[in-house]
Amino acid sequence: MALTTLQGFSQPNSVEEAVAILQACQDSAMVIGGGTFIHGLVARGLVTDVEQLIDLSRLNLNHMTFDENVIRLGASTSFASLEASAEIQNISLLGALREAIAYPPRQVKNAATIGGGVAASCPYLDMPIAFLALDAMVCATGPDGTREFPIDELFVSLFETNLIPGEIITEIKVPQPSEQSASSFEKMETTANDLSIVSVGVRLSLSGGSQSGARIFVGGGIGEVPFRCCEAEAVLENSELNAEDIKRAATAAKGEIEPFSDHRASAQYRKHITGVLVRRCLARVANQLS
Amino acid sequence: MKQQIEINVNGEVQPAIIEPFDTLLHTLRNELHLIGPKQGCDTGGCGCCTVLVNGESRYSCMTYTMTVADAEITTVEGLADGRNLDHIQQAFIDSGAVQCGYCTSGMILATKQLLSINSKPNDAEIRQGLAGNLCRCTGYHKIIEAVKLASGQTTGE
Repeated sequence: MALTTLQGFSQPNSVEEAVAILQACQDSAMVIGGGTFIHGLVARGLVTDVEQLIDLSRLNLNHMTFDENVIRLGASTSFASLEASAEIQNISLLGALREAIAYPPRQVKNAATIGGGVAASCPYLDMPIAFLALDAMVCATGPDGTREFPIDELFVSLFETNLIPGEIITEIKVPQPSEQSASSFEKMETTANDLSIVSVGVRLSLSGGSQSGARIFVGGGIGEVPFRCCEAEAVLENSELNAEDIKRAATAAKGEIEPFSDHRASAQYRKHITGVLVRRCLARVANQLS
Repeated sequence: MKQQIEINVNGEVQPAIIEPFDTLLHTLRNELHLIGPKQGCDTGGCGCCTVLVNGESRYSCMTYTMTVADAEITTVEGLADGRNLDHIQQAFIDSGAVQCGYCTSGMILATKQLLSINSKPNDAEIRQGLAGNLCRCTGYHKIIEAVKLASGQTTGE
């Protein structure tokens, strides 16, 4: 199936130009990063009214900078270039990001961008879960200038973000906590080309042998936006990350999520798998921090 | 609205008349009559539409032609030098890594990408590198042998 409503295509050369085009087109335009997500929507008949595509690949938003306190990643950074970066591979904090980009095949890694992965506001995608676990900040530029906000504010509903008309994501910032931190991501899917049944991203920080500020997020068939497991996080506050606490946190996570049943999996199965994946991710991270 | 573009495919800049919603797969097959890239799942999952865009493997079924109009595209037709096959093509023949052949052009281009970043992949790395390409005949064993032969890790004897 082709997107036959499409009339125009533009490749702006600057953020300002992109914002101006997007503002002029309003609801009839769709922004693409690598274009891997829109194709899936079009093929399933979920996008039928887009008249303009705005390709951001010429904005040169593919920078990666690594300061002591913050990692800055341009929105157009592809999964393949993340994978090729020695810094991304070596910073223990970024485990969730590394593990999330390991899932797609090379052909997708070459095209898919981190900005596109979050801007779609789709809880089935992996980027939202990884960046939520990392407490990422989103930088966006629009007609009213540039602003920065925590990534959990981006996800308003399925396919709906807090971006105002004309606004585009330019950068994702990952703060580097002063404590020793590590993160992990894992998902279950029916086939490599299907949406995830559930996905899990966690981050733990250790200081003086005691954990603080855990992040546990679940994506997949669990609701309109990714779910934050606050009860499970609370279990791990001041924990020494022993097997017993990890098990209790996994049990809390599967108890607090409210997944749905569909042709991919029942709600009961999603709860069970969430418990398994949370336990595995936490064990992996605890092991790295020990 | 149709428009004429120029697109660099297999080292030759060629005119093509395209709609803004045309995929690269559509343009290659229906405009330029290069039928090496195949239409399979058409949802970016099976890999038989794989081509190289500036040397990087991409699913042509999920790539809008307009986004790569200024890039260098390589299809399987562009690998051979006249009658001399590319060494990966030859390795697929020598290993018998072809059954029905529908996935072969994609497998060969995915191999090209894999060997460009990892010249001596082990079995696990080959499987990972070709994970985006499905062989419906399930002839994976021979395909992995072909990649090892192409990367000079076996002699094929």
